[in-house]
Amino acid sequence: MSRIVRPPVDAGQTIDATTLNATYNDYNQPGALDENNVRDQAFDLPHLNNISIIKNSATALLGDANMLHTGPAVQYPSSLASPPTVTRVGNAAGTPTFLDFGASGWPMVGGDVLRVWWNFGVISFIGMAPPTPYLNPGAMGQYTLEDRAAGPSHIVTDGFHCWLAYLQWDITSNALTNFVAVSGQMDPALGVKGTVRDGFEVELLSAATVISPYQVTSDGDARDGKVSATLPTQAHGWYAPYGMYCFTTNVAMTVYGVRLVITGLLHPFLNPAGNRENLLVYDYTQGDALYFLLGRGGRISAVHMRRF
Amino acid sequence: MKQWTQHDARTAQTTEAEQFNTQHQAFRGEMIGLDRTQLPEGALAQTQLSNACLHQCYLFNPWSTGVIGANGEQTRYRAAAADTQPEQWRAINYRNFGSGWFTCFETTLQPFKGGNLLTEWYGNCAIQTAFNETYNTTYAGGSQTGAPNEKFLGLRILYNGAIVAERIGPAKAMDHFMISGAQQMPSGPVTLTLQAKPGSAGPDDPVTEFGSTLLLMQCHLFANRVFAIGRFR
Repeated sequence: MSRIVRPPVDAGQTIDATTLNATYNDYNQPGALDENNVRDQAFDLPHLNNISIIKNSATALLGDANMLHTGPAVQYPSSLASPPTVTRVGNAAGTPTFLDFGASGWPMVGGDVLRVWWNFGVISFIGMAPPTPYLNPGAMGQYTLEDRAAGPSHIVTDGFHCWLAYLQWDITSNALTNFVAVSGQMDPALGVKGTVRDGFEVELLSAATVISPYQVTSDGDARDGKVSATLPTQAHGWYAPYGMYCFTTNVAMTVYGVRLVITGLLHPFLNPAGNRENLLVYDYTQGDALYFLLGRGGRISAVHMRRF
Repeated sequence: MKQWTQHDARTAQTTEAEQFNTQHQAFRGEMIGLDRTQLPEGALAQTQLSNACLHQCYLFNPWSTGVIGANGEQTRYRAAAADTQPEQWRAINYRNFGSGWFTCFETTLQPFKGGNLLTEWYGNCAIQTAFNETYNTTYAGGSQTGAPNEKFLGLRILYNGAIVAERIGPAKAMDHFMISGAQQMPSGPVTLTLQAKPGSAGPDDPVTEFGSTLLLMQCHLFANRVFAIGRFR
């Protein structure tokens, strides 16, 4: 507790202004008051000025607002060759759908937090009919299993192909023509980490969601680690991938918009050099005009808040 | 800012003691009597509150486990590069992992002044799901005989070692997940622990590629991000 100790002045005693001013200064020192100078329950919400932890919030439609299976849908193509294709999410009319934070954007100061959530309904059209493309020569993720009857071995796929959806933001201007991957997330690199592959470093996927196009199953055939035929694959039906992103800044910056982009198809890859990091790279053998991700509708939301 | 309210003493001015005492009494009354009736609405702005006065956000995106080049990944089970398929990842395989829950990420949240603590854990995972139904195993109570060989990735959140949220997690080969949990917690640092439980080896699961010593990836967690917020009250 802030307490001032000064000898009392007796009634009738004559003092000069020096003493009086010293006492005045006792009570005028900055920072002298603390919580112990205030009685219990002294403050209530009306005393707190503009301290909502939320500074801004917004939500927007992704794609089209139609959940019927006959409703409009948009094709997000697979990448056929280098450089890869990265497609922003939009509606069937060709209009991009994203979070627009307005002419002034969201000005973030040091200590502010940006949080984003999204969901988006998709179905993957890729390799439905046999022979499955994942077993085409050169397709990534193939390995060999022994035949149960000691016959020729079987080439199978590991099933780790995926689409990738991730967030980009525009922190340049409200013209919204400078979208780049958000902090902690990378846009695809050509020859990532010095390899001959295009793709992503797995440690730089802070705003990414992987979307599985199909499943591979033993379907009751595998026994003692052996199979009698290659493993069948089966496409997933419609489902709704989702994502969450959080970011805090130590410097002032302005975010004018956030959007979702989709790219693929990718597959795990081990960097053969350096720290031997895990990579996620494009498998262009899976690029085909018939292979695409069909997206329908979803929603993206964001809040801008104080970290403390 | 305090001002003279009883007298305005000037330099070298002579005053009576009672003059001083009157002002002293007035100040004292203000010092010990501050309350809501003396402060206007909106008197306390954000800048007058101490950091983490009412809430505190804790962000880990990506989380770091201290392993170079592996931010956001689980590194508790990280296969040697020499054991890893060239088109798979350094991850969990059946040689380095047996069964059960393991800690993917752990940290201490502080300051925490007591109150509600909400945690959102979002991540991606790779799971070798192909052998969830084999000759000797069934899948999730299917018609075949044999024990289940499910490859769900279990997930749970713990505060100070106590489970606050747990779920059966993703089951696609490449999948994503979110799990969130909240709990009232006492003041003091909180140990946040995030755990996962991959499926253990079934009797028919292949461990390596035929004719090779390279191990097959069974599970991995990557691109993980964690957001927690303490609301102090």
